[in-house]
Amino acid sequence: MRHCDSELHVMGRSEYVDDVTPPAGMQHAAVFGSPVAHGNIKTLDTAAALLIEGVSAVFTFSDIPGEGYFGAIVQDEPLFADEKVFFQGQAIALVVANSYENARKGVAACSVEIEELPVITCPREAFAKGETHQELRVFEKGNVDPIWETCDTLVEGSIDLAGQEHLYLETNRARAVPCEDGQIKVYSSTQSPSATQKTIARILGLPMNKVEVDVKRLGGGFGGKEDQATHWACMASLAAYLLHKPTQLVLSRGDDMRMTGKRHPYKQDYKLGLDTDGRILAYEVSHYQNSGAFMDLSNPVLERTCLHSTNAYDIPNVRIRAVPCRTNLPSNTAFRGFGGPQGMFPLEVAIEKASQKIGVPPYRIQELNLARRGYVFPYGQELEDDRLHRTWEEAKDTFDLEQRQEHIETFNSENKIFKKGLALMPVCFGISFTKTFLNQGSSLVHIYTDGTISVATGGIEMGQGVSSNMIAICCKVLGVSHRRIRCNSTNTSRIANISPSAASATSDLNGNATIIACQEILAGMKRVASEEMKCEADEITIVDERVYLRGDSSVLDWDTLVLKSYFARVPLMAHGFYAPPNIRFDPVAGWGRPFHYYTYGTCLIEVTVDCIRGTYTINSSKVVHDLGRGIIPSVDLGQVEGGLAQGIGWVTLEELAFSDDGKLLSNALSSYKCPDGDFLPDDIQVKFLENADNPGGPLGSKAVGEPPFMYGIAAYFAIRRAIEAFTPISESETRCPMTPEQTLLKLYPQAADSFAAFSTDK
Amino acid sequence: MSQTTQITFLLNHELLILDVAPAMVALDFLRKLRQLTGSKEGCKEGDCGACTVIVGELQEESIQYRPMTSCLLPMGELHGKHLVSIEGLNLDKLSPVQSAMVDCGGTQCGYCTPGFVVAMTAGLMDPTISMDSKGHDFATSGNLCRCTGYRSIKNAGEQVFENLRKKLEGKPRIEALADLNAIPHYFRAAADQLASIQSSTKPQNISTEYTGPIVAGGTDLFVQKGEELPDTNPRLLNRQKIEAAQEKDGVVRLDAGMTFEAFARDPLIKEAIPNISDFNDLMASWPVRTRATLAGNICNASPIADMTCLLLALEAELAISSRSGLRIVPLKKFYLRYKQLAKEPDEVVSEIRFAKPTERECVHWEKVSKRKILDIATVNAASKFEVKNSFIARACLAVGGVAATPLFLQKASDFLSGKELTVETVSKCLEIAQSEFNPISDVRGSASYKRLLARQLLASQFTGLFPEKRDQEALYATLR
Repeated sequence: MRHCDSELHVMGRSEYVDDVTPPAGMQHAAVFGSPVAHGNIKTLDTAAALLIEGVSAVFTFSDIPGEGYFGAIVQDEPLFADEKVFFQGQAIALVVANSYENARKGVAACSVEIEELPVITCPREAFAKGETHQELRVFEKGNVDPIWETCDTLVEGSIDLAGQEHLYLETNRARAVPCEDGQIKVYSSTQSPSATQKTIARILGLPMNKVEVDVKRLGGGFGGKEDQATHWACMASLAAYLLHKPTQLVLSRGDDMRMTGKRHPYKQDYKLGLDTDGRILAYEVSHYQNSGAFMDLSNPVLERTCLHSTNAYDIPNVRIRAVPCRTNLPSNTAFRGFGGPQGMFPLEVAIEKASQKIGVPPYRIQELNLARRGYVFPYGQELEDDRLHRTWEEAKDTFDLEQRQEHIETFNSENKIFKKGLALMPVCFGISFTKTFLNQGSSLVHIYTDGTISVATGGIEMGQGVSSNMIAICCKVLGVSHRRIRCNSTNTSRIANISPSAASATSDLNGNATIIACQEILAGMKRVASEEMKCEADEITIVDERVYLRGDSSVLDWDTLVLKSYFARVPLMAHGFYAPPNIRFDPVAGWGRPFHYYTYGTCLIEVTVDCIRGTYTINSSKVVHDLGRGIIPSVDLGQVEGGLAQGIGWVTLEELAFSDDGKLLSNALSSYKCPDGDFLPDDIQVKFLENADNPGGPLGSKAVGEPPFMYGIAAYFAIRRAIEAFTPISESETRCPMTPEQTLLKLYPQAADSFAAFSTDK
Repeated sequence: MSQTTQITFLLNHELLILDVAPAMVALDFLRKLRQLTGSKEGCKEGDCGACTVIVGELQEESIQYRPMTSCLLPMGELHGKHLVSIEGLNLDKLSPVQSAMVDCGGTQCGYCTPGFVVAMTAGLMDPTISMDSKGHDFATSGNLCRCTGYRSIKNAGEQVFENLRKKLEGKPRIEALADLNAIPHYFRAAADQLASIQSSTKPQNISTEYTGPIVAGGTDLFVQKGEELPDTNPRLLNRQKIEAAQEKDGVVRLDAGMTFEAFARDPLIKEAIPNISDFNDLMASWPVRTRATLAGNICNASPIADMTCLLLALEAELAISSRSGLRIVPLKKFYLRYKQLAKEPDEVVSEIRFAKPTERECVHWEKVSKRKILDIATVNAASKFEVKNSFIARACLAVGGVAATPLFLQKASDFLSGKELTVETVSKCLEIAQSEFNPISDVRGSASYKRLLARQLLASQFTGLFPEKRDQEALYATLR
């Protein structure tokens, strides 16, 4: 089986929100965003917009019939600016017109006078000024303070870790259609249909049962549409509701980039102490999260940062300080890894610095400190198996680590212009929402009288293949061909209270729910078959659409059994509900068993740096990944390769640039560069751990969406190794990403200094 | 509102006669007026490739098909042409490209997929493209995917290109692809249909009362002014047929409207600048190069214009025409200030000329950008050197991204003339060069980075003059 949408995709026939033929009289909306990052609105002039041909209405905060503020964690965010603006691009007004073009012209005609207030873009500055979304919190294991003086090696430093634009190719969009009796039906490109439904109801002052949200598929999400697709769906709904006309809102790429949040940038301080052998004795890290203007999901993102601050390593004494800082940037939000990558990064920096002091390759220290079965993480959960080690050992052996290291050393001694480097990255990523209540999945399975099957779950298809997984699960449990099965859109009228498709858990939660639903139907059908064949129900199996009795094929086929079941008045539809057992987490104490299980893996990346130009080539990335027992091999492989690609992009090319006054400078695809086919290595090898069934996942599978992202971090350190082969790196602060600019400046520190002086002199 | 023009053209299998706003882009036409929604809008600036279409133009008796980003393609140019969207590539069964993408898992969210399928198919339709992984990479150089990491897409592309290589060898390409069900059969009749349009109709109501700018390829103007242009009546230069490069008395003459891709493939240019195809691969992407023109690059006056930098080093001259006649301006004198040209608004650059480099002259060009392919240069640099008996007889150095305009390095170039080719000479030249520009910090890099990078790229211009590795290393050692 393959990705179930792929044939439609290659023909251009798969439909996204605005590909569906518009309903008659559909209006188009566009957003007027704040031109400044912080200030008090003095006057807002929308009269000129209303004079534009085709413009029918302009809505602002005062037009909201229900609650004007919303938010997943705290309700601190207004749908439109309420007297004040807090970031550039913050929605002030919505212009509605008879065409997209006219709505955009209406936006251009809007003007606002704002009394500007000081702008903060740096989380350290925000923290110093008391601008935080929550108080600073400290999590500890052991006690680091008395340990420092016993350490043979101590390293410390600070880090400037940049964010990342999601760059889903389909920008945010929604279409809202008013229906009878004040109801509204919304087609949204969202990862969270229920949160969208709930927020629309809140904004419009409607009960939730009057709002239906339907999601067929997303042109990419990656977390960017977990909490931040809601705004646009609310705005389209507001216009549709107030004007009684279908209304569509599609963000232009520029608007999407400047109006929506990204992966959180962090400023960090680290301190690492090791003994003579390189064993880590103590680690202290401070995370100043650049949360942006509103809370959004910053709190749970920061929570995962803390949980993954020690990544895959056994560290006896740990202190983690973390604070979400309020800045005048768009509210930063979920993005594949959800704070995990930011948690893992500083420890790798510290290990690199320590390895230089000690004089061994970093992977020796990584290996020495890798956590083993029985290790208890700082938050109380125990590592229950040895698979982390298995991936490390297999990666070393399969990819000839020692030989590769030797090869690189030889190459570097023979070449003056090109230098090579390699780095490894072990990943131990916890699977589950850390907000325990979100760990629930639902599935609705229908078998129709012609034997075809429809499955609808809470899972959102955003390319990751969850629809295909649901079909594959139905196939295996029911014993039928995938050709009989369709995966329906995700719809709040079919499934209530859907958790976001996030945390890598979508396939787990909804897949297990699908198994439960299928088994319930199957039990009834087997009863019918057993009566027909005069046997016990548990003697019946269905394989390849045929009924088997004690392993022998019978005359009864799937179609016949379905019809017989129908006439016997046995239910051919079922709703399955699943909540993983044995997880709990006290977020205040930072203690518990937050994860259902861990996904592990180890990645080896090799690069070559052009030491004249400061450019680099990623030569290879090789991964050993613990997938459990995969559901659809090509789908799983796609998740690993795709996550890896985004991770490599984050630490290399993808540079979010804001001006001091909070304007996004990298505001288009011409100035924000994500990896392309040429940049990513041709040599990508992914080896899945064998004999690794996972009892917690559906059909023995493991969650795969996020963990591979963090493999990309190896690219950052591989480039640094190559630079170090040319000249020692000296830096007051470790900056990520390692753009060609950073690379060249590090290759020529003296020239860089003198040119910096040259530029200032002028 | 803009005036409309009546055009006759082929849209996939259909012959259409209709009135269009000349500067409406094909992407909007397809999606909004024809409900052909397979072409996706990802960026509307030619940077993602999700809207890639194929445009066929009659050349002699056959059609030359080229990929273009439909978000930057004005409808007013399409009279007598064949516009092919993803819908026009669909057959009863999946084509080999489509099958390979499905089989290799080359599609996840699917939003970029039609663009990849169209680009790969365009690659197959161009007989000059190599039928291997290199050809596939070339064909999809303008396509971004955020989901897959590309390995699966490359697998699909390589599979198709290599599988079809033998089957297509030596055969007329369009016929052969139709025989293999790689494109629909209606393509066979397209050439005759276009010929008949061209012999029987002309675009109607082309107003010469221009209310918009002069648009050549539009690959920058539609990015900058995409929302305003459809309401205007711009002067679309690309309606005319472009001639191949000509040589007369050692001077190469180029039609100003020549596209980057046509330039790089022109036999005369390949002879004059042997490495042109390597340079070409680093400029924009294939579907943008089939639109971007030489004069457009020059007149857009971006300080980091890639082609302009090369033409500066080639000492190009511009023939500028207007009602009052023709005048010649050296390219290096064409830029007054940032985006200010030595050209009146009604004047049009009609021809570009440069002396064909002799055998003793070597021409080099490089750029560094964040991403190697389809990215705007942070700094670019170009050179033309004539070396006789280890003396530099003549040198032309140009650099971009470090000043308000593309820059000919007059002092550094003059300095080199007559000097012995030594590491010291190069060091001094690099020092002089630094005095000729003053970069600013922006999203592409800090001022000090650009100075440093300019030094590195100017130094690398000399690599070819020092064939010994030892000498190259000595040169580069001076930079540390």
